[in-house]
Formats: sequence, structure tokens, C-alpha cells
Amino acid sequence: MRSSRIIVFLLIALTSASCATVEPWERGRLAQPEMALDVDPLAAELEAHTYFSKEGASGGTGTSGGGCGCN
Amino acid sequence: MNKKNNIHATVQSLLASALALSGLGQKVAAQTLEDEQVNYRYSKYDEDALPDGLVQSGDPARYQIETHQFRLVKSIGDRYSLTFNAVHETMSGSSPWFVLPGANGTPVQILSGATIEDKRDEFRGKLTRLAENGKWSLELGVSDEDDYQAKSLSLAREIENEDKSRTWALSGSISLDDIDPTDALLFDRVESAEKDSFSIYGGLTQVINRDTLLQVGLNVSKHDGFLSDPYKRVFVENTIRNDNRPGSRTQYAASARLRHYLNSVKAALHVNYRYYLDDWSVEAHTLDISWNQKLPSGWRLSPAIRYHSQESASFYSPFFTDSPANGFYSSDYRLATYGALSYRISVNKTINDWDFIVSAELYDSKESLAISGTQFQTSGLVDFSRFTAGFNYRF
Repeated sequence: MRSSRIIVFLLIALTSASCATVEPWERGRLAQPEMALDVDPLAAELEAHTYFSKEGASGGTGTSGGGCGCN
Repeated sequence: MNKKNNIHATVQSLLASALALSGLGQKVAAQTLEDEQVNYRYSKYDEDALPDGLVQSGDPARYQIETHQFRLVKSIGDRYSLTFNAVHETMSGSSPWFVLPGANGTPVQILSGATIEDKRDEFRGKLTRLAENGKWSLELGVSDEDDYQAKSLSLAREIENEDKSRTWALSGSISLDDIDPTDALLFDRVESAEKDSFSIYGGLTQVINRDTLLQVGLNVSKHDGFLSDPYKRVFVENTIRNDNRPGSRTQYAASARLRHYLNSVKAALHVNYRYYLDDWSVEAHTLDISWNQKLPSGWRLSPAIRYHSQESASFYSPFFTDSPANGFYSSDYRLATYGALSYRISVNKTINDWDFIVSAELYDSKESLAISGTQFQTSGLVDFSRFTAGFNYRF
């Protein structure tokens, strides 16, 4: 039941990804630094590490690094 | 009509050339190497003391962590790039130890009696290679603490479609961890243990239109070995026992990350959502929204808000009046039902090849913030503040 929610979520997200053709010369705004998936990679790393250490859930956007004995 | 078409084609060609020269057009695609740069951040993390009524004994000063992060990105020829990350952390303070039933069944927290002093060093090296239709990357990492060592390896592949509007990502990682708790004999802790983790990720990043990007992904992780917390104890049937969790855990996390540019105000809206589920029955929803406002003279202001709500693990309770039939129990607040709100703000100033950054975060967690509401009072939930300062230098 719960795993079906993940599948439904991904299907909705993928379906919503249907999109118009955007030519390379129309991608200037997408290339702005503010539009990066992680504007500040070090800040994103530290935040992910902090939440991983202090919450019961983690992951979702990739695989990287090892564990820690964080209390 | 022909003349109009010719003009249109000429303008398109000029725009494409201008974008190619500026590099703007290429940065949207994954098939580029990251700019050569050095990044440094210093962060101070400070947990609030627990309310007086919730603590019976122990050092009320909770964790403080100072973190230094260093990152170097260096190109090797036209097709390779090396990224080196180093982290040095020093931790001090006390940590929730176990929970006792108080008056009227209210949980009362016992914190670790002595101040914990520890440090952690992490080093990671990543080699990225451009391929014809994307890139490969291989990363090796080690993390070392007095009582915990982790060695990790990850391999990632990104594949773009022909017009570079869609990027598929696939990665896998393994981490082999050794746990050697301090004062093991004194406190009846496990003396030495191992934990192995395997993780895979699949994702898709899609250009939706000229202002919008969407990334969706699914991450599955499997952990085996010693997954209990060697420093936490549990009140079970009038005895104090060691935290005891199952020896395996499978985690699923589905994520969606939306980026939308509002050209009229020169700002980017970021919306991140994650749905999480594992076979310990922890289920969580996390929503993170930030506004990245470009300002004149190289300034950028980025406020953000994050909401996290989770349901407890099946073997979690603040204390156990009866011994669970399956023998698993934990009163670690991180496995409890609760919700958390955090507020962040970041200010960035760019001067030529330099970025200077300061940021702050306030994190507040409560049982009542959970989507399901308060199920029972949980002692030990953490509130913290964090301050960060640093710089980037591109060379």
C-alpha cells in the first residue's frame, strides 16, 4: 500500500514532465546560477548531513558518502 | 515572408553564438565540467538546552559542532575533472541517553552525564569524465571519528538526450562502516561492530519550458549489521537495557525538485519535496521551498523554509512498560513521531571571481507539528541554530 504511493508519486511527477520544446538559445534563464539544482553544493551537503544526523529519514537525491556515528 | 524567415534565422543564429560564447547555453546541459574553484565554509551548530521539566539528570548543555568544509574542483585536460572534499568537525556537549517514565506517565529525559568530546574528519575524491552523451563519475571517501570509521565508493552516470533537454542519472554506492564505541566495558556497550550500506539512485531532469526545470528521482538504500545506537539505553519493564534495533533496514525515498525562474523579478523559486518510507515503518514527508532573489551589484538573497514530518518506527516508544515480543526497542527521539520547521536565510555577494556567503538556520521540532498530530510526548526532540560563513573562488 505504502510502496504504491511512491509509484503513484513518480508517475504523477513524470507525467507532469511532458513539456514544450525549448531550443538551446531559449535556455538563458535556465542557465542562471540561481536555477541550479544545488545553488550552493557545500551548503546542501551540510544541510543533508545535519538532517541525516537528526531525523529518521534521509536520501532521495542521489548516493554519496558513508555513515557517521552522529549523535 | 522569406525575408522575415531569414531575419528570424539570423537572430536565432546570433543568439546561439552569443550563448555559446558566454557559456550560458552549455551550462544547462550536464555535458560540461564544473568551473575550477575553491570553496570554504565555517559553520557553528548549537542545540538548545531541553526544557527544565523534561530533564531529570545529566549535562543540560546539548551538542555544539564546529565544521570546516573545504572543496577544490580542478580540471585535468578537456575531459576530466577532479573534485576534492575535506570536512573537519569538532563536537562537544551531551546527548539524550535514555528516558524514564515520570509522574502521570510523562517521559523524563536522562542526558549523558559527561560532556562528549569528539571530532570527525572526512575526505572524498571524485573523478569525473565527460562522455559523448553525458558523464561518468567515481568517488572514494573516508570518514573517521574516534569510535566510527566509514569507507565509501560510489559510481554515477548521467546520460543526456540529443537536444540536451533531458538528463537521466543513475548511481550506486557502497559504504563499509566500523563501530568501536568508547568506554564499551564500563557501560556494557558493544565493543566492536560493523555496518554495510548499499544505495542506488535513478533520476530524470527535464527542461519543462524556458523558465522551468523538474527533477524526479528514486533512491533505495539497504543497511545491514549493527544499526542500534551504542550510546543509547532504553527503559524496558523496569530495567535499563541497550538500544536494540533490527539488523537490517531498507529505505525508499522519492523526490521531486522544481526550479522556476521569474524573469520579471529576476528570482528563482525552488521547491523540493521528498516522500520517505522504510521497513522500520518510518514514513516521512519533507517540503523545502526557497526563493533565490538576484539583487543589484552582485548581491543575492535566499530565504527558505523547510517542513519535515515523520511517523515513528514500529519499535519506538519513550519507554516500555512491557517487553516487546520481537525484542526490538528504542527511545531515540529521531525515530519518534514529530514534525519540524526550519527557517534559513543566505546572503551572497559576488565580486569578480569571488563569492562571499553568510547564512543562518533556525530549526524547531515538536510532536504537535507532525501531520498525524501528537501521539505521545517525546523527550529529547532537538531545536538548533546554525551560522555559516565562507567563500568561493573561481580560477
